[in-house]
Amino acid sequence: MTTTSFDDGTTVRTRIAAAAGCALLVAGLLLVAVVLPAEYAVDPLGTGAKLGLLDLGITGQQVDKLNAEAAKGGAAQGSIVVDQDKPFVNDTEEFVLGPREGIEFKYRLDKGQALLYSWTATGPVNFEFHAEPDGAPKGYAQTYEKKDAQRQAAGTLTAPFPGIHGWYWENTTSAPVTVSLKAAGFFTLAHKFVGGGVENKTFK
Amino acid sequence: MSRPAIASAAALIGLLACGAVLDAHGVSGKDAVFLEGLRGRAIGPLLYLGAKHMVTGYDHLLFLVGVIFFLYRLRDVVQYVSLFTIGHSVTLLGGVLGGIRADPYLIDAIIGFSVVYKAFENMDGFRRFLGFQPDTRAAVLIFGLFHGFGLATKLQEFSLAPEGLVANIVSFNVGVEIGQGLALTAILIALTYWRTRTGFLRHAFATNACVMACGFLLVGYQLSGYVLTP
Repeated sequence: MTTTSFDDGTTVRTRIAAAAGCALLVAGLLLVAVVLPAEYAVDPLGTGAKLGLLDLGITGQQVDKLNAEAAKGGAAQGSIVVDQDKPFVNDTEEFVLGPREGIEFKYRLDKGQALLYSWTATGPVNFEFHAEPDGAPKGYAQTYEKKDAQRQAAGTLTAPFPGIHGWYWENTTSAPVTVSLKAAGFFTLAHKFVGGGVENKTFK
Repeated sequence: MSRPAIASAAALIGLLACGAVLDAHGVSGKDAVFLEGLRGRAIGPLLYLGAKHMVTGYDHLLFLVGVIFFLYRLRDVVQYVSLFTIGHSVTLLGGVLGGIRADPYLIDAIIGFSVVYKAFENMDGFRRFLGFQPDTRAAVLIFGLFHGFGLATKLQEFSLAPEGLVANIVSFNVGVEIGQGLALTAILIALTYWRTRTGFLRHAFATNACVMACGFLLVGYQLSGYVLTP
């Protein structure tokens, strides 16, 4: 009897140890083969590249880095006076938004370039002032300001990174609204995104 | 496919899916913006965020599954869950209001370890290897403290305004309990149904081994975050 219970005890212990060992092994394999490439772009076995997970990790790392830089802020505000050799430009734009229509307008700015702007709308619009950094993954945007039901905004922006910087306006009312934008700076290129297409505007 | 195989596959898929949306480390990006912009009391939103954090927090859920896995009587469930609640409330409130924080990766690694511990306990590992069972109630209470500290650390990553902070944190805590109640109900219904089937005890061991694997994976995921994140 004693022998039997001893045997049983040993068997049970072996079973628990084997199960715990398996659990550790499976977890370790999943970690190295799947989680590390997908989360941290670390791919020691090459499985992340095969499964396409590495792209996920690389994008995630880029976004983390961009967010960290943006959080630090003021990376661009190195000096008070920034000389410019590009011509000074004054731009005025007018956009007519039909009911529930939206439009996006962005200026290309280098890191540290300043933009002065003021816009007014004939009715309340929702807007998002944001930027897409050069080399950022598709669909990534850094939001500066986001407000609903506004009729105007004005201010200055010093670009924290090279990329396209500008606004998305949306007319949520059932009547047409006209948005008038005035901007000044040293930009040479602007993009208007409307209805899935892009119109470029160059400045001399 | 056998039932434990399905269960473990579902658990792993869930775990990986959650991992993909974990960028903001617990609280998602847009909620974070809301929290930082907050001035004064916002009881409704914080109740919601607390509940959301619990319902979508697979580390807390896995631990709860482990805790109530072998609790058949409602009285026991209430007792253990109360201990867990006391534990995490103490450190959530104390941590945020007292400004105490730790490295979120290390805290989350300990939370992952709590899942491993509980699964090992359910596999009868302590009695078989150590010859005695460490107090199960104390374990739930102590790990509850770490779970709450994890919540507190995550909340403190945001610069929360002092206006209405106490009301907001208490609301978040109450929301966590609401979310826990919802999640527990779902887990209990599933477990109760499963227990009426003949396979329950046969598959209990394998299921706890799966839970343990998930716990190990959480530990590894958090520790690699600690090492690899600048």
